[in-house]
Amino acid sequence: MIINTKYFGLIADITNKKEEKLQLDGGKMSVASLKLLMENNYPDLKKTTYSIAVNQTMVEEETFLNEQDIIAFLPPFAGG
Amino acid sequence: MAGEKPKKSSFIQGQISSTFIGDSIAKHQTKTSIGAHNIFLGQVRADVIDEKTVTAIEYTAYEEMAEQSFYEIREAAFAKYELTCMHIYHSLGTVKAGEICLFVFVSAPRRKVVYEALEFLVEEIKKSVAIFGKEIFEDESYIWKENS
Repeated sequence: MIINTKYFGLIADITNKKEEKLQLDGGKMSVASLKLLMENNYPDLKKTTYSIAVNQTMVEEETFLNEQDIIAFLPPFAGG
Repeated sequence: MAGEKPKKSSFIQGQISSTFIGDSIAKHQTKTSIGAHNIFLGQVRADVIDEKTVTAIEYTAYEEMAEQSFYEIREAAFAKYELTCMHIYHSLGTVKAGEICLFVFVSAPRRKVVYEALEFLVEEIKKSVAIFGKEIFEDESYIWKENS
């Protein structure tokens, strides 16, 4: 399965990029498993708080990912 | 995209000028069912953090998602309060301390509803719109802002 990730604010500082395309092996993957995988790739993620949006909707950790989903890693909001 | 009305963007590059705000107010003079306006202006504060002073905030956003959130917040406010019109503008890019970065403008026939609607809108914007702010200090170092 191929997914697209997007990084914002502090998260983009940690990953040092704004987006990437990830090839995930194996079967179904939940948001929680993706977070574990990403925290393995980018250990500094563990030190921060962030939420996940799938195709522009905020999701819980139990949500399963689908082919070509756009997964955004969002640090705390700071509008206003 | 023929036939589809282009969605108006809520984002403005850089500060929101007093001219822009003044012009927005003036545009409502033809809407004579309005009896009350209420305006919120968010201004960049020169916070002092660990003895360093914030000189500007650089705003970025997950724009597609943020525009959708602004749309939903607007719809929720129209459903909840009897408003004639409403406008939300937020800055992107660099806004210096003392400059305006958020402009929320609500109008209604009568005054009571505009106080409540404005508070609802500002709180929702701060809580649920994917906007990020880098607080930049005099020495060009920075920290990421977090809404409390």
